[in-house]
Amino acid sequence: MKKYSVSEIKKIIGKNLLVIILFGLVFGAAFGLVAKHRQSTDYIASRNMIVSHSFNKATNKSSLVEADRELIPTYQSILKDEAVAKAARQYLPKKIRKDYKADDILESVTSSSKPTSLIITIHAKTDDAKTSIAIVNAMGKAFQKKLPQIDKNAGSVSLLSKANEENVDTITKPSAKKYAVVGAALGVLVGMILSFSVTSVRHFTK
Amino acid sequence: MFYLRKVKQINQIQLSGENIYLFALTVTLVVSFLANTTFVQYIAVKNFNRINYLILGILVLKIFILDNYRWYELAGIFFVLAIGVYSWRVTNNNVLMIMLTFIFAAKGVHFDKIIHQYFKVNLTLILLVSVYALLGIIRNLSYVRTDSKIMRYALGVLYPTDYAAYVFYLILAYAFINYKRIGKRQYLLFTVIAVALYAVTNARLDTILILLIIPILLVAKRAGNSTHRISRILAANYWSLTLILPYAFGLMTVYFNPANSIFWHLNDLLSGRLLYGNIAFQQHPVKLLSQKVVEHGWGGIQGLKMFKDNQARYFFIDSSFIRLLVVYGVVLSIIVIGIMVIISVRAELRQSYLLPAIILLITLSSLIDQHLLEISFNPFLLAFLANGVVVTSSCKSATERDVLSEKV
Repeated sequence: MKKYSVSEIKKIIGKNLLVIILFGLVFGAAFGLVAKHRQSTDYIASRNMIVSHSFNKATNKSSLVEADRELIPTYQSILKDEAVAKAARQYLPKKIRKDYKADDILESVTSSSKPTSLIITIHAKTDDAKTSIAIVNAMGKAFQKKLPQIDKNAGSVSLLSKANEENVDTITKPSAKKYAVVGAALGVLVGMILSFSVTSVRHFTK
Repeated sequence: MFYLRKVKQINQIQLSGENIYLFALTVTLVVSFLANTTFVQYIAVKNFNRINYLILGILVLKIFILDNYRWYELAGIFFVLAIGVYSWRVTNNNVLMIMLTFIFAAKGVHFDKIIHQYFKVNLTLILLVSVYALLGIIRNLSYVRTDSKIMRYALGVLYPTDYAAYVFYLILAYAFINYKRIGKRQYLLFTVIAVALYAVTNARLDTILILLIIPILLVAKRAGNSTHRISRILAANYWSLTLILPYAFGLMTVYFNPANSIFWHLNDLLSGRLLYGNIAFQQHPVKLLSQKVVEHGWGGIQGLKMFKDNQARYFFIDSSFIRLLVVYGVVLSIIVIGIMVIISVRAELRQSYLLPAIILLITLSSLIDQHLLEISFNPFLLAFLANGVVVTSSCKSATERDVLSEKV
């Protein structure tokens, strides 16, 4: 049996560690670069609105609010109607109008609401901030105009503040950092397999 | 006359470190095994624990008084044992503390004797407990698989897969003791045991592990002969899998994504272990030292009740390695995995492939099984400081050296 001195063992461990760390770094960098290359950013602009009926002396306030709240899913469906999108298109600046037909507008638009609130939020998601802002504002205006034409008994639409550059959300996918970490973890694994098998064959087989 | 002779015999038993250790080991093995059975319906676990702590005290005395250590070695051991005690207080789980104490107290004890004792005690106990459970003296917990309606029996142990794990480790101990004699007959016996075990416990993964003993041991035995190049190369790599496999498993658990179909199929194969491991990482971020993790498993009478009444409460970390990292922390993980790798590498350096094979099988088992750290199941970590594992210059004669190096 070959006896190994402490310094020899340290060297072997050191070489293994070197290979492992190297592979970790290389794979991490590679994955990170691929992710960065494939990166795309989505811009989400949002605008709030309320659709409600006005109170008058005869109505029961709480049941009116309830009724308005129950209509919200209906309004959300109307929002996704082509008629509204067509109207919204007219409000868009020429440049954006060229790229976005009514169908494209509808694809980029979603809406959401909270269970205890009367507020409906319109979201527009595109790859350009200005476009998202323009679309969401246009949709708000279009909905306000079109709703009474579509449903005579609907409430009146109050649009809250317009979306602008300052309140746009951005999502950048895929995250280069996350990919780099996964890459590094995989690199370490590959490094371990390679360096350990070389060490095994070199030192543990006569 | 007989009794007088017996008393004289007992009086003459030498209080060597080795005898003290083997006595302590026997007591702990018996007590810990019973604590894992439905005997706990009659004797509370805390009584078993008290006996164990007494034994640990004796072992600590052995380490610091009887064994010859240099002062810095003692300091290192004290440090590790202190971390073990800390982990016990924080996690309310004494398993690692007990294992560490036995590992470090094993200096000067022949490893052969340890495994022999383990085999005798555990084989006796498992047969006894199985018979008692079948006779109804203690409860034979039975679980049903919801999809296939198959019954799984634990035969006195607290859960069917625990029973299967006991059998697995017993076979490993048998393989260690009879390494030279192991051949086709023994492999057939292992297969028969595996099939019978599956019929009783329906422990799929544990049964596969028992079947894996056969090829891994085969390669190790062939590698002992230097003309079998391929087996040599394969067996020479056994040690690295103790680092690679837990790491890969850890990556799969951390990056587990239920939406991905590949991950989901893997998770099904592993009976949900990836999912629960992932939840464990999210709810209990990994710390340097131990932290408390509340678990609700299927084992025992309470577990069976939960199995029947409220399955949604289930949360258990089955993988020993995930458990090590999440519950016991980074420092203890490095220490335990380090001990396993050192045992394996030391043997590989001497072209001895039995212990690396056993450590590999324990690694594979511990990926899906939580018994790596329990001395009642796994006695093989005790090879770290025990004698007869490393041929040292303290061997008395050349023949003894040859015998030892040929054996392990």
